[in-house]
Amino acid sequence: MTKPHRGRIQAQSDSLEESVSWAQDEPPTLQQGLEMTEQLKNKLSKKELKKRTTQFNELERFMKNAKDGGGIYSPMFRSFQNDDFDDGTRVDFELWAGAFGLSVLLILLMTLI
Amino acid sequence: MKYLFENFLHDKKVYNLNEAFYKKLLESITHQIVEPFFKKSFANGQKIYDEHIFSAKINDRLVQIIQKEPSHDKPFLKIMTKKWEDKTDMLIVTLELSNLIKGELKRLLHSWFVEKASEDVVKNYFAKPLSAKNYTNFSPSSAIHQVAEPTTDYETGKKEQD
Repeated sequence: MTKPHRGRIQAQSDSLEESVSWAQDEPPTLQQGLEMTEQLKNKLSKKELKKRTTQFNELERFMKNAKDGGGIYSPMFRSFQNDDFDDGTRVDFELWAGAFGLSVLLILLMTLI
Repeated sequence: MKYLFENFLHDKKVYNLNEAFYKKLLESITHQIVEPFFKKSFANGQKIYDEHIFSAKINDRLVQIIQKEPSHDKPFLKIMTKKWEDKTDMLIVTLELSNLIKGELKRLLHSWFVEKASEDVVKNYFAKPLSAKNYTNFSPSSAIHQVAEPTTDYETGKKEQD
């Protein structure tokens, strides 16, 4: 059965495609988002990671801002690109379904509904 | 070269006009009512004013326009493609919006949504000539692919006085 909260973070370029995805019953928390970001970083070589240092920082800042804003609902997409390269070097955030980073109160309300 | 909506990240009024520009542009190309596809606000209702300025889903295809603050001294537009949720073709357009880019953007969006050009065709045709680093091959075609001019001054958000 399809899980209600689905998405992916992805490191991409013309020659790279690594990702960490989620499909779960509850919206990922900020903490889970940051942990998935670390998992994605660990999949990259030092060279590929270095090319995306700023972009990962931007992704983490976006997640934190989302949390501060009470969370985000799908569909949501953000692409953090390194324009120093011509090969599409970037880190993408994709919220396909459900929500991300909702406040505990909202999650409780969703559970009750 | 004149940048359009140059102050969009610092003036919400300009930002909103900038969004309306893309909506109107896409509607003129596709002859459909176009609404943003991706959410533009947090769960608390606060609108997100950032570079991911406009998106749309039309004819089972997606576009996300990412507008950057002007930093190049030449026209800047680059494109990428991906599959949204592993099924829907998605075009990501990153640009600095200027009078020189406007016509090319319209041609690109027409190719993507109306002609339904393949990802490879779109990428090969538009990606290289328009990148900032090899701009010398770029021939502005805004005179041919002219987009209707908004009646508002882009930099100030005020009505033009002509």
